[in-house]
Amino acid sequence: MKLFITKQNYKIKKILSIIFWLVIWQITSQIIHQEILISSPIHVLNTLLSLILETSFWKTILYSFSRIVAGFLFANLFGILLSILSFRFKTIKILLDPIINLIKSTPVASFVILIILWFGSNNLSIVISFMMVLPIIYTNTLQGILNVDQQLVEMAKVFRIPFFSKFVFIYMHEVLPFYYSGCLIALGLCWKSGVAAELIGIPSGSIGERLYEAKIYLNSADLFAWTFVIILLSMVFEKIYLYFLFILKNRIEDRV
Amino acid sequence: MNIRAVDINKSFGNQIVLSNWNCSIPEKETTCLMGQSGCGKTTFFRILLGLTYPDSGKILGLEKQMISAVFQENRLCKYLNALKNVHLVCRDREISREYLEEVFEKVGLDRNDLIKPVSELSGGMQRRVAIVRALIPESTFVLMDEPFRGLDAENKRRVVECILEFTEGKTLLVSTHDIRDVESLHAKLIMMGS
Repeated sequence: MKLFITKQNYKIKKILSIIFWLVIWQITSQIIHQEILISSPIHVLNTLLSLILETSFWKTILYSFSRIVAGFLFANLFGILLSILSFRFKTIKILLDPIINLIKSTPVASFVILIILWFGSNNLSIVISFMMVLPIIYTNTLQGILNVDQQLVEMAKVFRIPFFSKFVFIYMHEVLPFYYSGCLIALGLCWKSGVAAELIGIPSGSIGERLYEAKIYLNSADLFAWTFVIILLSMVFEKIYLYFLFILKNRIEDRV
Repeated sequence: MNIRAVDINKSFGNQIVLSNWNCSIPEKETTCLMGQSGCGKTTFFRILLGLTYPDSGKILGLEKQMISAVFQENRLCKYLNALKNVHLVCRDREISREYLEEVFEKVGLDRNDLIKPVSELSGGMQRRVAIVRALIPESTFVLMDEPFRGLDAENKRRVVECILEFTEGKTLLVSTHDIRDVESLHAKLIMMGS
């Protein structure tokens, strides 16, 4: 009962803090009183509601969402695969290390320009999202694999535990927390970098293009509305992806 | 066929752990291995388990053995319960929950203990789970490295009874520091490092 009340209190406090900042925002916009500099939350909400009614709004979301998420998923696939190969073969790790470090330290803008030069801007956000997520997933997964308890690995060898069970109960269980924390960082980053790339490359029909238009026409209400949409998309995708991981883990463990 | 260690040498850097070590472990019998700490018992166990290789010498008679073991550490999947830890090593063999509960009861673990993650069990309870895990799977050669560590007299008695019951007809090698274990396990004694 006490735990329930504490949880409920926490939720109420969270909602109140959001309301507090919305009020601050409203007051600030009223004091400044210049829509170009800072739109009021009410105006942003109206803009958002009018955007939702447009078909192009949903097409824009679909365009950016599918590309950024595709980049994220490809990066996960390759990151996990490369980390396993790096663990298994030292030469691959030695070869990959400089590339991963290079990707980590190169500014997104440099990549964006290169990608535009090489491939054009149509699939820009896929590549940028992929490149930002890959090093995080690779590094975290590899760290997780290196962290696996070698005593358990030896135990599995002695008892001749089948590969799948060994993978699920020894490796996956140890690696998952590392992968999870990598995902938490990567999920936010793929949206930030993906949209930033679209803003520079301005692919037609993307969220980046809509942000660019908002900048050109000094439309801060549009800017805030689209920013809110990006945050929402990022949060929803994060929740869905992490929930999917949780379900997958439980399903596999129950089945083995 | 007896398991024989022939002229085993093993060193780590400059430290010689096993020097021309020879011994014979009789088939389908129990053997206790005794010796001071650091005399190479665990290294010898690791060689028998295939976890490390001797610098020279060979082990004969291991080829067709199905091995199970109690390690010096418990080496349990801490987040799994006792039942799942045993199922994990039983491969495709179907073992009923009721049967496992019976076996665990023999070593003093009740049903409630079996559904908790083993990390929530005491050190002695975890040790008993590790012992049961070595006894249940199909095996012909069971190795136990100081299996009674952390067990009180009553639990030790229960565990010994269980070991005797489940290792009948199997080759059992137990490393211990207590000479009384040789008698209670009806074992042959091999001294190391003397």
